[in-house]
Amino acid sequence: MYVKDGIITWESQQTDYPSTGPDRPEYEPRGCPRGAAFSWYTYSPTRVRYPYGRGVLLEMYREAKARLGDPVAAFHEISTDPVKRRRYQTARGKGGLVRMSWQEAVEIAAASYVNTIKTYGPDRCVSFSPIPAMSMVSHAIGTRFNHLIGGAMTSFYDWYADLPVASPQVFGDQTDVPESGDWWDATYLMMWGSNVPVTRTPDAHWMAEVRYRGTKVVTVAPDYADNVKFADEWLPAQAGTDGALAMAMGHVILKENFVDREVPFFRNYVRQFTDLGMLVRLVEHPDGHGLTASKFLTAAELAHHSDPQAPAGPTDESFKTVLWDKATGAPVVPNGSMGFRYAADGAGKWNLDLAGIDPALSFLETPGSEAVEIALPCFEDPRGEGSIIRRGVPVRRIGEHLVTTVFDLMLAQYGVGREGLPGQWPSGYDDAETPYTPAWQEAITSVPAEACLRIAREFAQNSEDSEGRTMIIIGAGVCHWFHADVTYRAIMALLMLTGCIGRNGGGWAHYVGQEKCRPMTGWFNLANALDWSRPPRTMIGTGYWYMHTDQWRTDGYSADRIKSPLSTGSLDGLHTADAMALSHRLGWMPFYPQFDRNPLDLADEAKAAVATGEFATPQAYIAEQLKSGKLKSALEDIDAPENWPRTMIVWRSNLFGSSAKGNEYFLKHLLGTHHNLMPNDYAADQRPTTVAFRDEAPEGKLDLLLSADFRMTSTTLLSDIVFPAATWYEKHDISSTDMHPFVHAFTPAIDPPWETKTDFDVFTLLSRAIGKLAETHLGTRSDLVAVPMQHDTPGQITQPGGKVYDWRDTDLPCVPGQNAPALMIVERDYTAIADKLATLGPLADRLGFTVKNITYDMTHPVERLGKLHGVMSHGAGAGRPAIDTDQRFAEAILTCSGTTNGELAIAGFKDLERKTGRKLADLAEGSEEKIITFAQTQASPQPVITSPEWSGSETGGRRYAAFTINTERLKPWHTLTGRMHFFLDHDWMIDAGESLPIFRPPLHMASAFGEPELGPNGEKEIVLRYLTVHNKWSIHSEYQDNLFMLSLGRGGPQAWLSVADAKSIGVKDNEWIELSNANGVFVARAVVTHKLPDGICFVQHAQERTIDVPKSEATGRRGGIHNSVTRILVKPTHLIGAYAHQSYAFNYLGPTGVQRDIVSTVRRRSQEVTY
Amino acid sequence: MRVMAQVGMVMNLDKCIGCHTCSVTCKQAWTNRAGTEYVWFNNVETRPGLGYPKTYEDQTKWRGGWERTPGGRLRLKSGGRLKRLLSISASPVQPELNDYYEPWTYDYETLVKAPLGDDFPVARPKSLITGEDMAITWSANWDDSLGGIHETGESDPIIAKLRSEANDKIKFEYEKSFMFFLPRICEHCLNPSCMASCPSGAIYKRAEDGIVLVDQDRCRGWRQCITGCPYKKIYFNHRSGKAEKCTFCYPRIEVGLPTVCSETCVGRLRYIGIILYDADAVTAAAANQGRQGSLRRAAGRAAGSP
Repeated sequence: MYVKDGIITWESQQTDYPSTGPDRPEYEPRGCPRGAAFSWYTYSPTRVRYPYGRGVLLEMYREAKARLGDPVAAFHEISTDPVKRRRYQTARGKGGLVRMSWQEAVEIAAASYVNTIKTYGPDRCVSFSPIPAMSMVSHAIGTRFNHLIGGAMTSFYDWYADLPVASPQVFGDQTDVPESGDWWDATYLMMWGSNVPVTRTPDAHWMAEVRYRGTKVVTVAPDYADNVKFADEWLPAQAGTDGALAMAMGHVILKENFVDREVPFFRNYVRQFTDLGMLVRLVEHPDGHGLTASKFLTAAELAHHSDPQAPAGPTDESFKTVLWDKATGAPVVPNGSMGFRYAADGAGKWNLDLAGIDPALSFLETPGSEAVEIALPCFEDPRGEGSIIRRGVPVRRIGEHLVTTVFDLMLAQYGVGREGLPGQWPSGYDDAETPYTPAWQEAITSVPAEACLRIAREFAQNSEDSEGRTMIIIGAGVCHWFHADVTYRAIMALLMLTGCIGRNGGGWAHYVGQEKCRPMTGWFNLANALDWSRPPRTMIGTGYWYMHTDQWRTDGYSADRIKSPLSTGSLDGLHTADAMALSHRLGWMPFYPQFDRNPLDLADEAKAAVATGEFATPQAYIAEQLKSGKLKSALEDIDAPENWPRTMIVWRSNLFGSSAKGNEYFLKHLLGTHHNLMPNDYAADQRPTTVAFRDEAPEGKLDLLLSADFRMTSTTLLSDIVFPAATWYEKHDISSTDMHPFVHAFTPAIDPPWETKTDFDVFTLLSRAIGKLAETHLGTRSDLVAVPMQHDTPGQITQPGGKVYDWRDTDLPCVPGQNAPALMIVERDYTAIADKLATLGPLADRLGFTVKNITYDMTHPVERLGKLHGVMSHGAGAGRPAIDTDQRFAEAILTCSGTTNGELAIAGFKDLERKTGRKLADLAEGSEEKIITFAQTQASPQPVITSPEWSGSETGGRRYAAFTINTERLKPWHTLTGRMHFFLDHDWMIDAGESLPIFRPPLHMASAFGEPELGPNGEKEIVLRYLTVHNKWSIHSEYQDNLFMLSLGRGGPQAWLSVADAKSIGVKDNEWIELSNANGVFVARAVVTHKLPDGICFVQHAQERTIDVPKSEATGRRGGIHNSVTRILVKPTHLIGAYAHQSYAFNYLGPTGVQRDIVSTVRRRSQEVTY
Repeated sequence: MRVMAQVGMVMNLDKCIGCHTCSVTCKQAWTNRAGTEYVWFNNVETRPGLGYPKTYEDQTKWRGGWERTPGGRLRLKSGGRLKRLLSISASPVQPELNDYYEPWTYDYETLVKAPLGDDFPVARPKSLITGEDMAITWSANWDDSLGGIHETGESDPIIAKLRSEANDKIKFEYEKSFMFFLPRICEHCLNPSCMASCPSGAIYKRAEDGIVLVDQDRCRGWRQCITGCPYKKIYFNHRSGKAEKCTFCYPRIEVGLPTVCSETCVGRLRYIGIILYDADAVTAAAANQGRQGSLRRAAGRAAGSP
C-alpha cells in the first residue's frame, strides 16, 4: 500500500512469499487485476461512509419509540402492524436510504433481534457471510455472535455450488486439493471445466510453466476459453456432457489396464485404497427386473446377524465391509472401515494395512465363481429418461447372500466385457450404440472418438510411467451442473483407477471457492462459539433459501424425476419439499426454524415435563410430541408466519446481488418488494404432501434486513439498515487458501475512514445493545436445539445400511439422535452476549476443541492467551482470556490450531496414532515448540505445520498434495469402507441410479419447468442454455462496479452469444438484448463471438443491477441480476444424511445451488433504453 | 564504435494469461489523473483484434515510424523535414477519441443518495469528456478474448496481411478459434521516431539507460510524436496539453526496483535487463533493406556481436 498523509494513493502486490525451493518457480508475484484495482473503492462515490436506514422505517420507528418508550416495543409494533410493515417492506431496494447515527442503527437492529428471539424464537434469526478463509476474523466474529444468540448460520460452499458433492461421497472429505505449486509436479495435466487464467489468475503461471518441463496440457471446455490458448489439445465437449466423455475414457482405461493387460501399480493401488475389492450383495428387483446391485456386504451379515429393522444398539458391525481373500478363499473383514472408527475395540485397527490379505478384485480370479446377469440403469436419453442395460458379473454365494465385487460391477457399468459373462456388451470402441465407448460419447459430446481414445491412453500411460502424476484441474464448468456429483465421480474415477490420488503432481485439483481455513480448529471452534455453548445451529443454505423464498411452490421438479428405472420406491411421490422435510425429520440435514414453536418455550415445556416426572429426559418429551404430531417441524408449514425468518444480517457478502439463485423469488417472498417474476402455474398440480401449501404465498417474511458493506450493492440497497464497513485495507485479519500453504495477515494501511467500522466492532456494538435490551426482555433462557447427525461423529453410524428409517406414519419409534435430529438444551444469558463474544469461554479447556473426531486439549493455548492478552476482570467472561480486538482474535485462532501451533499438531497425530496404529506424529515433530503468531503473519506469509486437520503433508518443505497421509501412512479416508468409494449404497443413491459413476445429461427444462425447448423457434428469439461463467472483470459481484474493471471490459451488463445464434435473432455486437424465463429477466448488451458454440450463452456470474441496467421490456421494471433468470434446483440425493460418509457437516455436505442447467429465451430488444 | 546501455524488457508471450494486472497497476501508479483517463502506458491486447488505439499497426493510415528512402537513408513515414515544417500548424495524422474510446464514469452517487422511488436506483454511464449521459460503444480493451471479432476482426491489419499470405486459412469460426495476448509498453526504441518527430526537442533518450522520456516543460503539444510512434504509445493529455508516455518506471529503475508492470506480472513473463549496443551501428541496421538473415546480422552488429 502506498499511503501519503493518511490517504491511500495506490497499491501493488507485496512480494514476500517464502520461496518454494531451488528447483521450481516461485509463487511471486501473486495478485490479479481485480485486487490491483481495489483502492479505487476506498474513496469512490459508491463507498458507504455512514450508517444508513430506510427512511420510512426510521420515521415510523422514531414515532413509535417516542410514544412507547421502548425500542423493542416500538419495533414490535411497526413490524406487526400490517400497514406499517408493508410500507417499509415495499420500499426496499428503491432508494430512500437516509443517513443515521451508529447509536440508532445499532439500537433498531438490537430491537429487532430481541423482538424476534422473544416473539418467535432465536432460530428465526439468520446470518449469512461466506468464505471464512479469506478473512477469518471478520467471518468468525459475526458467526460467533449468531451462535451465541442461537440464530441459524446458513452455509455458502454448497449454496454456491462450489462444493463438489462427489468429494464427501467419494473421499468422505469436504474438499482437499493440492496447492498450485504442485501443478509443477504433474507430468500430464488436464484442465476440465476450469479456466484458470481467469479464475485462478495468480496461480495460472504454474500451468503455463509446467509445459516447459514437457508436461502435456489438455483442456476440456465447450468454448475457446482463455486456458485453451495454453493447451496442447482441446476437447470441446458440449456444455454439460462431460460425464459422457469421462465414462468413455474410463471404459478405455478399464479395458486396457485391468482386463486386456494388468498394471501392477494400478492393481495394488486400487485394492488397498479404493472400495473396488469390497463385496456387494445382489438382490432380485421387486418389480421383476432381475438381479440388481444392492448394499455392501458387512460383518453383520457375515456373522449371520439379522438385519436390524430399527436403528438401535451397537451398529459398528454394520459398518465393516468385506473383501474376498484369495489366500484363504474366504470372505474377510479388513481393517479401516468405519466400523473400526468408533468401536471400543477398534483402537489400532482403523487403518489401511491389508495385513497379509490378498483381496480378489474380481471373482473371475477365484475358482468356483458363477456368472449372473444384472440390470444396470443408464441415462443416455437427452431428456434424462432412464433405460436398463443387462450385463453379466461373476458372483459367489456367502451364506444366503449372492455377492460380487465393486470392481466386477464397475466393469459391467462401463461396458467392459470379459469371456464367459452374459449380457449386452459393446462390439468395440467404434460401437456407437452401446454405452460407454469412445464412439458412443462422440454423438453426445462432439469430441471425436479418436481423441477420446487417445487421451485416455495417454492419461493411463502417464499414470503408469510416473506412478500417479496425472492431474485434473477441475472447476465450476463441471461443478455447477445439476448432475455434477455423478459427473465428478466419473472424472475422479479416472484418477482413482490409475493411482493418482494422494500423489504429489497427481490427483484431482478442484478449485471453486477459497474454502480452506488452514488454521481450522481455532477458526471453527471460535466461529461457532463452541467455547461457550454447543451445538450451534448451522444450516444448509440451499435448503434454507429454497424453502423460505418459496421457490418450492413452483418447483415441478420432484424427486421422482431423478429416479432410476430400477428404483425400488424410496423416492416415489416425493416433492423436493417433501424430501427436505424427510431429511430434516430423520436427522439427515438441519433445518431452521426447527419446530413450529419458539424453542425457548419448548425448552421450558420439556424441562417441565421432566420435572413432573412424566418423561425421563427432555429428548423423550420432544420425541413423543413429534411422533404424536402435537409438535410439528417448521418445514411442514413453512409459509406460516410463526415459521418465517425475521431478522437477518449479511456481511462480507452481497447475497441479493450475487449468489441468490432465483433472485426475484427472494425479492417477492422474503423481502416483499417489487420483482420481475413472470406468471408461472407450471407446477400448480405438483404439490408436496407433507408440506402445507397455503393458497396465498407470503410476501415480505423478513422483519428487518441488516447488512454491513463498504460499497453500495443490490444487498445494501435492499437493506433496512446498512452499517458502513471497513475495507480489507482498514482492519486486522488473517487469510489462507487452498492455492498455497501459507497463512498471512491483513494489517490496516489506514484507520477506517469516515464513520466506517470493522466487522469486529459492528458485532461488538450489536452484542452490547442486545445485552442492554435483554435485561428487561429476555434475561437467561433455555433453548432447545435440534441438529442432524454429523460427519466425523458417532452419529454417522446410527442408520445402518443407509435405509430410510422414517418414523412418520410408520411403526418405527422416533429416537432423537438416531432416526431424528439430536436434541440438546442450551442455556443462553442474553445479557452476556458481549462478554462471551470477547472472551475465550470455559468449554475450550473443559471439553477441548474437536475437529474431524480429534479432540485437542486447549489447556496450554488458553493459558498462553490469558498471559498474552490478560483475562477479563468481571462479567460473564471473568477470568477468561480476552479476545476483544481483531488482533487478539486472530492470535487466538492461530494459537488454537494445529497448522499454526506445533504442540497441537503433535497431540492430534498422537491421538490418530492410537486410533490407527500407524506412525504419524513424526510428520509434525520438530515443530513442537513452534507457534505461528499474528505478528509473524504480519511480517510475511507463514508456511503452516503439517497437522491432522488436513490430509496432506508439508513436512520438509514438500508441496502440499491432498491424501498423501492416506496413501503413505495408511490412514483411512473418512468413508464407510475407509477407502475411496466408487460404489454408494444408500437407498436413495440406489433408487437414483447413482450407485456407480454414470453419465446424466443436463436437465431437460422443458419437461421439468415448462420452459421452451432449446433452439430457434421460428420467432425472432432463441432458447439457449444460460451459463453463468466467471467474469474476467470481477470476483463475484465485487469489482463489477469498479471503474478500472469496467473500462477494461464493456462497461456494463453483458451476455456472450455465438455468431450464428446472434444472427438468428438479428443481434449485432453490443446491441441490447433481453434474456428471460419464468424466473425473471436480465437485460444486457450482447458480446457476439465465434469462440462460443451455438446453443449456449455466457452471462457472467454476479453482474448486478447497479451499473447501467435499463428498464426491461418484459416487465417495465429495472432488469435483474444474472441470478434473476435462475432458480434453485435441489438434487434430492444431496439431502441424504446420517449414513457413514454421507452425513452432514456445515459446508461439507448439503444440496448445492446449481444453475447451469437453466435455459433462457434470448431476444433483441428496442435499442432505445430507458433507465 | 559508441557503446551504449539500453534497459530492455523481454515478454514471453507464450506465458501471458491476458489478466491485465500490469495495465491496472501501471494505471494506478501513473495515469489515474484527469486528462489521462484513456491513457494506458501499459495495455494488453487480444489478437486477433484491433489493438489500442484501433488498427494502430496500419501505417498506411497512421503514418507512424520510419521508411527507407531510395537512397538508403531513413525518413519519417509522416514526411521529410520540409513537409512537416510546412504543415506544422495542421492537425497531425493521429487517432481521435473514437479510435481510443470515450472515457466514462457512472453517477455512482445515485446509489447512495436516490430518494425513495418506484424502482432500483442505477448508476448510468457519464462521459468523462462531456459529462453527459452516454452509451458505451468501445473501451480500452473492447475485443478482449475475441469479443465481437467476427465483426471487427476484418479490420485487424495483421489479420489482413496474414490472410493474404496464408491463403485465407484464418477463419473466425468456433473450432478454428485461436488467440493470444499481446501486452504492450513503450518500446524505448534505439532510434525513436517519436523523438525524431518532435518539433520542440522535448523527447529525449537517456544516455545512461536508453529510456525515452518526454520533458513536460519543453513539450508544446504539437502531437507530432503521436503520429511518429508506430505503436501509438505516446498519448496526449487533453488537460495539460502535453504528450505523455511510459517512463519504464525510471524512478524505480534508478533505485534498483523493477518496473511496476513487471513486478506485478502474475504470468511471470517479463524479464528486465540491460543490453549493451553500438549506437553508431543502429542507423545502418535500421536502414537495412535485406531480408531476415542480413537484418539479423546488422542487428547483431549493433548489439556488439560479430
